[in-house]
Amino acid sequence: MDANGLYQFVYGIALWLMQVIAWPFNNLLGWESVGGWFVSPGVVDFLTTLLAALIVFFVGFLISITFIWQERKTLGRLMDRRGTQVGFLGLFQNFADGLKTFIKEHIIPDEVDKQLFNLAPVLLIAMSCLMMCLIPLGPAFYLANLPAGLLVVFAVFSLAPFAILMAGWSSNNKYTVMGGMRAAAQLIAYEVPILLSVAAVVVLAGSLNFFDIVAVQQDTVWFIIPLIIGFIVFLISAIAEVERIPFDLPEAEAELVEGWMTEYGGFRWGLIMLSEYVRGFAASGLIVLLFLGGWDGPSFIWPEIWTMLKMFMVFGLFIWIRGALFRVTTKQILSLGWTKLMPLALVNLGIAIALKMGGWF
Amino acid sequence: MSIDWEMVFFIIFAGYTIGSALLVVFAKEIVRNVTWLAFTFIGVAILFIFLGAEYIAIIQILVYVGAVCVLILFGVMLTKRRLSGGGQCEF
Repeated sequence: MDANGLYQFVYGIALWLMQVIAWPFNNLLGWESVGGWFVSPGVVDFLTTLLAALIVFFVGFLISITFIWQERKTLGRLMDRRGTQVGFLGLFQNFADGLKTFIKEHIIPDEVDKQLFNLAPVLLIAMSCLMMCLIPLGPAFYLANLPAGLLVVFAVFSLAPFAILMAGWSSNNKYTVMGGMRAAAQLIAYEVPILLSVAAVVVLAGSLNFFDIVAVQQDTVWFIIPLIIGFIVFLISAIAEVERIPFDLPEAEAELVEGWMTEYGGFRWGLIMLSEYVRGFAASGLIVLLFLGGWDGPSFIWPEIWTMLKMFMVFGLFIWIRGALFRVTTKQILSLGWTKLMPLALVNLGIAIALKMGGWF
Repeated sequence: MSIDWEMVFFIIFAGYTIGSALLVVFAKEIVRNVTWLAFTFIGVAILFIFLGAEYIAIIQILVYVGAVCVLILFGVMLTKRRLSGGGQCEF
């Protein structure tokens, strides 16, 4: 972990906290060794990591909750109704719903495979939260700055069909297995164009690190302009990857009850739902960082605010698409992925290589 | 006495990898075997990180764990099984 930005800030707080805790040991009890242990670098580092992770989690969590609010409000307007009403502008509706799922009964159906049934939502939420700490929101607001951060995000993204299949199979229900199968087919198919369109960005930027990619965009031009085809391919594939409405076959509620999450209820369902929006957060964050210049913008407000504003705009596009289009069939979704998006992604990769060899980037 | 923490964590994760590799062989249900296989691959990726090869660890997760769900698909599609406590399950 780099020692700047958020980490530096939290380190100061953690050191101060530990000094407050160590004070009575040093001055009242006279146990200098215990007081010294509290302010030793290892303990403070550990506390700093925990606090920084907590802050990043809460920011990601609040953004995801706000995404849900934005979706319900915008969809309401698109459908000519008012959307959520609880609290100021309906902002508190999601917290009320979260509390409701929290106090519901935990139902485990009799015939399910209990261990896998309980493990699947835990895996899903763990993967989603891992993506939160890998995606930087600004030059100072990040938890981990890995040299190959982009690759790690996609490695975590590609684990999701595994957990979904596990959930669908262990529920011991025809609808959940069908939903899980559809999810696996769709997610594996759309991994190919998404990785190819990201490869074009990596060719132009010459790096797998988010900070380098954003720095190149600040120096030259946002990658949406040279790679507009890649942007469109990435947008469509991202919607398929997070299973939103034109491509929400795995949970098609008219055919499959609730898809692979049919048997889940109460707080497990709440966790699955939250993980879906955290994946939406990750997808819109990736689009902003890779194509829309990340935190690049006029400097009269913080760069973190620019990233978030762009993320909300990208998610607004997702919501608009959801409100305007209807669900496609399995055959259409797979043929779109393999016969249209993949050739387009290859054309986009060719454009990127030509631009790189022509010396524009 | 100072403890070599890297050694301790290496032994923990190596034991985890070996244990889940054994469970791949000895578990009864085919989907469970494949699930344990995924956990074995994650353990191998962690061991790669211990060796200082982060890139291979990432690729290990991206390629192998991602491919595991294809195995599950084949396992579910090509084997007949009964729904526990119910009739024949056909897909």
